[in-house]
Amino acid sequence: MDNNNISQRAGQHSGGQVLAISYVPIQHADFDKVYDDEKGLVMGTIFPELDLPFLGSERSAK
Amino acid sequence: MIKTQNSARQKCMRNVQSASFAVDEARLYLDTHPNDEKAKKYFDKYNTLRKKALAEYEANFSPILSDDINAAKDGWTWTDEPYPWNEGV
Repeated sequence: MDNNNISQRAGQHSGGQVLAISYVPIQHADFDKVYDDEKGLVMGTIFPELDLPFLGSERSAK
Repeated sequence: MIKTQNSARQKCMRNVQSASFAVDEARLYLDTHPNDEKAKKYFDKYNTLRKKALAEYEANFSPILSDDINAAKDGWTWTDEPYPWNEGV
């Protein structure tokens, strides 16, 4: 089965992802910009690109 | 354990924890990016700081790891540390 056929069967989405396949893009960190140890421990990551606002609230509930 | 000693101990433990966290982060990154020169320098920096912080804590307070004790000479000292639920750090 060629790739085209698989995409048609699985349904293609924006960015070329197909259904039922999960993706973890490779990280390219800039170690000139990472946090020091103290800030890293507080934020839970030394990488600014992974320092995301995970807000636990009911806003996301439908 | 008296209060002043406790806060010095906590500060010392904080150094161990923060340096250990930075080492863990860099190690995970280097597992998939072993040729990142800056990441290797970051790892080395905090690996050194972590060893210093561990040595400082163990010299001033009590052992953290059982592999750092001298059992026959000093006794079974690594369990002397108060546990976290007993005001340990």
